[in-house]
Amino acid sequence: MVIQNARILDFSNKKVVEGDIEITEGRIKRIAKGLKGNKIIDANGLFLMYGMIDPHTFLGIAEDGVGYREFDLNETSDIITPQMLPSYAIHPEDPAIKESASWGITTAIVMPGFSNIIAGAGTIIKTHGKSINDLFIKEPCCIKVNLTRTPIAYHQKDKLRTKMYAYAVLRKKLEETREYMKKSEKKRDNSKEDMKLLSMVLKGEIPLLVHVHRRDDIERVIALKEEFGFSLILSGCEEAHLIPSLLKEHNIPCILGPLMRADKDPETRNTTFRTCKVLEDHGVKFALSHAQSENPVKLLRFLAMYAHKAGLSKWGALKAIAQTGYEIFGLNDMGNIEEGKIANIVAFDKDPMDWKSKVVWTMIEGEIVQRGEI
Amino acid sequence: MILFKNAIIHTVSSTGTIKGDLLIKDGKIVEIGENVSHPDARVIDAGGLHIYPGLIDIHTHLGIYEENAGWAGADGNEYSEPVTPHLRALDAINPDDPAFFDAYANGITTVNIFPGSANIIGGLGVAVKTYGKKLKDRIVKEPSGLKMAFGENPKRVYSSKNILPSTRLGNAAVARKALLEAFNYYKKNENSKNDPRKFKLNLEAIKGVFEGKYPARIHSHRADDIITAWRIMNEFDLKFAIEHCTEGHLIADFIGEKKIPCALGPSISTKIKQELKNITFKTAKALYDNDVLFAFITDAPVIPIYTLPLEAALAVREGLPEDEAIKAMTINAARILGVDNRLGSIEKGKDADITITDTSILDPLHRVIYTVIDGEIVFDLKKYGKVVI
Repeated sequence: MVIQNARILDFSNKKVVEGDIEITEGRIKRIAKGLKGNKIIDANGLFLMYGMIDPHTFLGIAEDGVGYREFDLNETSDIITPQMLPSYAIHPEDPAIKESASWGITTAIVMPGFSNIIAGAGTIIKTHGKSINDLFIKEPCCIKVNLTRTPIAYHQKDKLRTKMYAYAVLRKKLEETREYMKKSEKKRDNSKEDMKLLSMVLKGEIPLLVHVHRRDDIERVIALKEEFGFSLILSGCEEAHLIPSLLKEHNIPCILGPLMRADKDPETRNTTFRTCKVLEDHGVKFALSHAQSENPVKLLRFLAMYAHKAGLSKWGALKAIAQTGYEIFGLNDMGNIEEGKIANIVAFDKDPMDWKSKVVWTMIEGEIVQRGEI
Repeated sequence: MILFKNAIIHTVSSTGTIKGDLLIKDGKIVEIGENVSHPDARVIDAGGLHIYPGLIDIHTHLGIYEENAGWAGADGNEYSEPVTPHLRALDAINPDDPAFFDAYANGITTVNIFPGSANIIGGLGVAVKTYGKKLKDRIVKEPSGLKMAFGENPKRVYSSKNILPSTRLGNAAVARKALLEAFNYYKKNENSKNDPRKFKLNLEAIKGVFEGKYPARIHSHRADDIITAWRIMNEFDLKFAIEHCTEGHLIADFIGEKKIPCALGPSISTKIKQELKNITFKTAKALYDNDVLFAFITDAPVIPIYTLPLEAALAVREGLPEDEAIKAMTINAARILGVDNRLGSIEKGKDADITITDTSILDPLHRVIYTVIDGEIVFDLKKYGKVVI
């Protein structure tokens, strides 16, 4: 299959290239001018960008339009639940999945909610498919930890009152995991799913994703990483702009957001889109996300516009919604329209940073799955 | 006295959009036109800039759900009983809430502030300018409306306490009972001076609606909740507007026929409640097609106050004409509040509340260069040095 007459946004060279794209078996095979094929899609000047990724969502587990009583978001029965696997709750018919695809988001990471110190595993999905098997890309892709005051708000009646305790509980669990790993394979209790998952973190097979707001928590979590030697992704990270050098020094990627939020919470008082520019200037890797916000995932592109308005370069803004998220999770065959990558492509009628531009179609693995914004 | 020269002035009046000058003096708009001059005016070159009337958000909780304050600053909902008409938003507003700065730094010069939607009758709202040294000098209208709510919120709050109302039936019954009591009270006191021994603070607050001093402003998302609001208001012959109006597009013809004003939004919301499942950016166009008077709202801090123009922009992407989108943040809002004699357009004699941007305010990339409230430049991007988002 060949997509002809496209204007291709090339993140690597930061330019728009006119040309054709040949796609074979769901991957981009060649990009050139004058390509021919037995199946032709005439893009007729449309702007083609790589499919967007929201790296921190609740798609399918906090389903649209059913009400929170139906959510499979927060396992509030305990504060440490690493064994929660979103693939056992994701409802493929959540209308937000289809809507997100129709607005150009082809990939999302679904995480359990925000009530627990260790929330559970992250799951990478495509935004198209009838069953979880169709949607599924990878699980676990990380273990999510929350060191904001949100778990305290959920559990203050019985299990948790202070951040001191939150850190203590987390460190104790990581110590236990170390002990578990020291045992010979024969002596390990094979039924301990939580230990197995956390071992993957301490062995460096998957990263620990830690949701924090404040600068001091960013520092603490980096110290924890040094102590236990895991690979770290920070999420939330609203005060990252106050401490960019430390993030750069330790090479910690950030999933910023939600930034479009007027929060009532003292922990997030320094939330601003200007954070993006500061991180760009310091060479810190970051992606934008709607995580835990009042805004729908489909508006991801408008977050990029706000970030651009607040100083982030245009290409930096586009990469923050369609490239860096893939890099952070090691999805190396995604994230730019170039030879060899999986053919997740969004077609816009205008430059995607133009507010009037609309998605014309969304392609996932070489197949057009949506035609126009829902 | 300030004279802005060579701007693109969106007057939002019969004058339309013109290229020219704008003179403001003593807090009022004095002259609009070409080649305006005044020897005493401070002249600001606004060549290529866009001038709009100051934006108005007619449904917010600024100052009563304070930003960054947590529990200590949350005064939006009095959960203790479902009918509390005598509460006044004015009594809880913290004028130091940083959200007011966020508002005027982004061109929003007036906000209406309501109690939340936990209660069937939540209390009285107040419209204030977003900048001013004393809160009392900032008041545009008080009370500005009587906040009411139908649908999931009151039902959720009071079913958890196992008291009336725990259903939509309960919602309507509680509203009708309160209005009937207020009607009887109003009739009894219509032609006589209030007897202080019989003065009832809660019924006085509803009486203002019977007297036509301010409308009821009724939170309703679902189409049937909107119709419930109309049926009850119609029964008592009261003026009202619908807040949120999430399923307005499903009954836009009805809303148009009954001439019900709507405070629309926020549309950039997840469908976190069942009653939000049909939320769409298309509602504004449907209301416009049916001649409904509507204005966009953010419900800030539910979504940030600075996203008011984004609400409008997303509606334009679904076919709402750009002029109408601007009206729905300015003159329509002023009309629904009943302050269009003072606010909402750039016309001689109106308050000098204006917003000056470098490109169309509908473009999310626009920057607010100046905000003027009551004739005073309260935000100057060059001086402040950065955009406030």
